[in-house]
Amino acid sequence: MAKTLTILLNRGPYVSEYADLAARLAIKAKEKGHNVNLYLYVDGVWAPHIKAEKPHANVGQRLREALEKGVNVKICNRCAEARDVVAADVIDGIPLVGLFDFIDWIKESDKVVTFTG
Amino acid sequence: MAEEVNPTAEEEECPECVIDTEALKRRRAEQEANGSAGSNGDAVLILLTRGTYGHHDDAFSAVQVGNAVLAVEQSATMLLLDDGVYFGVKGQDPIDLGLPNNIHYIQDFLDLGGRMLALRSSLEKRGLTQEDLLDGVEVIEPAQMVREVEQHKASVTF
Repeated sequence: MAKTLTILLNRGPYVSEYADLAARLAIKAKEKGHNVNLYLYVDGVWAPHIKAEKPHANVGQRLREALEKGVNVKICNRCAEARDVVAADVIDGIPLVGLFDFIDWIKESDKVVTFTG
Repeated sequence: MAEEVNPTAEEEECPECVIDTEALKRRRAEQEANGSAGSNGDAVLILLTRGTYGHHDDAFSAVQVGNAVLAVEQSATMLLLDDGVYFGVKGQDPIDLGLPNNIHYIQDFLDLGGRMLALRSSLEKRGLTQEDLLDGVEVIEPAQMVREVEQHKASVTF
């Protein structure tokens, strides 16, 4: 039976492996048939800022794959505004939303996992 | 008619969007007056391992999650450990460092019924005691920390 997993990502790409791991976890959980939510909070809002193709695997590429597989991805709008990240800066299909969207996801989730540090 | 405190995404589009705790306090006061106050029991545990200032905006963002949880009638507990225990210190004021003061968000969390716990061993390693903490912050032992994790529906870490 499908369960619902919500992932909270607080860190941006390259400074650690967390952004990449969060996206990979989201993809794998979705492939196993679960409902998956990924909330990009604090410096996590930088992850979908990686839009261009790279000669190596990158978190932007993984986020596009996650979206294609049906993972729900949202960005904290307060965190984005604090960093001058606007909708045009990020990968299509990832809305900037308020914190209450994340709280709603927690309420409906079987598991919540945080990537921070 | 209760005041709306759960803003839409459009309403939150402002430079410093934070939870409207004043509206929430007014609604809580109305609920207490008419006897309808109370949580739906879905408790969220927020673990804070970072100091109040100087680590991205982890501490600020953590208490925003706490106040948002309280705003939707759930109960929230903040568990301070490692450098996170500095978050509960009274009289904190980093204005001279050019940083905003989080103290009123912390006090709002407590005033709105949020529980704030601080791990004794983390306090002791930093030379802090119960007397250094805001009124309402409870000092706990590691065994209770385990129980808190077990008793909450979900936990998030900062």
